[in-house]
Amino acid sequence: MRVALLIAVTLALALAALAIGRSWLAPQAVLAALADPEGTGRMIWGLRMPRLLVGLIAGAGLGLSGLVFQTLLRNPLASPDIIGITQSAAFGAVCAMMTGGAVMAGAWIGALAGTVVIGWLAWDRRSGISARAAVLQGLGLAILCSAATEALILRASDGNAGMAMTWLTGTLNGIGWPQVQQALWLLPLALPLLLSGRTLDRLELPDDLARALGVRVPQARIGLAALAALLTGGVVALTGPLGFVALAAGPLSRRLARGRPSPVLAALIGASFVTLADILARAISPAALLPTGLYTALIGAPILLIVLAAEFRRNRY
Amino acid sequence: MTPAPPIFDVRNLSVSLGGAPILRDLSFTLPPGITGLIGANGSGKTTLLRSLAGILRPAQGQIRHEGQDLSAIPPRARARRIALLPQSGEAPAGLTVRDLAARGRTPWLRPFLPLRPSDQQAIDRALTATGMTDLQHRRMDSLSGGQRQRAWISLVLAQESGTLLLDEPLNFLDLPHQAELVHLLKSLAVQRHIVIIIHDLTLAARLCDHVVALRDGRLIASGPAAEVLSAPELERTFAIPFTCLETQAGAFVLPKGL
Repeated sequence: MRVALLIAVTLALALAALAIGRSWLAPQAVLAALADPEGTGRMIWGLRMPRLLVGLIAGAGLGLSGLVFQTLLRNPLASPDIIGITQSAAFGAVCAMMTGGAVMAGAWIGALAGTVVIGWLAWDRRSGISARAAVLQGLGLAILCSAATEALILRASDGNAGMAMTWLTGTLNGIGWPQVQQALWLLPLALPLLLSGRTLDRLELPDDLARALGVRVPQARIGLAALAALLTGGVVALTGPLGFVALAAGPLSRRLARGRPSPVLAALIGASFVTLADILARAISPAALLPTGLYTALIGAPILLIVLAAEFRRNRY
Repeated sequence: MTPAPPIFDVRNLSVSLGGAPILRDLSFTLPPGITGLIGANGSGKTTLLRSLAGILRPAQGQIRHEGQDLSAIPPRARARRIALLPQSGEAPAGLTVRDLAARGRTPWLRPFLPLRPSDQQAIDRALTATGMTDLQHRRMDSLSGGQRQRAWISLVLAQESGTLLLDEPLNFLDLPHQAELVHLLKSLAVQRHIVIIIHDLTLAARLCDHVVALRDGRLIASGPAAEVLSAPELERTFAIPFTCLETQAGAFVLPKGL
């Protein structure tokens, strides 16, 4: 029910995203253009469709990985953009950009390395990984990686630096079909996470109880964290760090799911969130094309504040 | 009469946590019925219970559950045989009593498929046994401590395992709720074997058939409750003198001088 509703919202936003831009189209015109890729649909198929598809996949990926990290660490703040996974992925990606390596590979290596570092720093031999330590040390890692990324960019040539700076704000500008192809690689990472609802739910039980219920807790934790880190890295490589999507989608999806973790809802919320932000980016300033990441933060932050305030009042966290 | 087969057969069990030895070379067998686990704080009771649940890997030795090597049973199959209720957990946000009890069906569920009618019936039976049927749609965070404890017990009952391991389930309950829970456990013991960590030795004397006493990770005694809950054995377990009274109203066990 809630899933169907959110799918409808996402589709409506997708249609709007195809219609809105430097030239606005009526819904019928969008549908007509979709049916005619060679003629009137050239702009939609060539420009808006790849942008939309990458935005949907990026948003879904960020929403998923946000929910997974928040659930694993039992903390609504523990999303990849707060605990430094996004920033270490960005650092890896910028390293690759500067050296001419594969950006996606750089982001993946960065994201995995960041996850391992946080896990290692927050590890305690007796009690396992401490969520509070992970969040605090992750904040430190995020600052370190952001600073390192800036240092790299400052030392780079003007062309490289400009490209990296735009990318760092999180943007869907300049996305085309090659990026869609890359985004499709992320689906095998997203699929197991979409299906992980029951495991995530059981991981919220006390550890010993979850294990006694037959859940392979350490393996599930490591597997989910690795998939979510790779997914974050992949999205960062494509669009740059789109702020607040990963942080906001988790709590919003829980709000719709009576407090339970629902990866499908989180993915849909993330996808519609990025699409909405991109619609605003193009509708408000079609000429300047402000980065989508600016709008995800502008919408995401207030929503998140409202939801978190309500949840804290209800003592959910 | 042949003796009943042991529920647990523990041989030379040693367990370390984070490199520190917690249990040292324990060997004992547990008969069917209710076993009480006693000992001072830090004596290794919880570690022993977790080992019996199969969720800690022994550094040495072996545990057999109903004749089968515990470490050789895959987690899901093990969860269908042995349930563990850890001490005072916090319920995940937003769950009702019935939602929580339903989590006990985890080892019986088919991947990605919802609860079956047989699962719902198991949950109904568990809620009936704990007297939580009327409260099943209440949220966990709206309940009193005693109600919450009964909801957690509903979870492990819905798991429908033959063996139930309980870590201090009587803690934080007022006396009427303690009495109620002792009655519940006695009625459950008709169908299941129970191992329970318990601090109140008078309650232990009335509840348990068998008692295992630990001190500093070593076995002090394992035997019928009446034998282990005696002044000499208790003094060896807790290092203080005890008074044990047999009365018409049952046994009373208290530290001497109280």
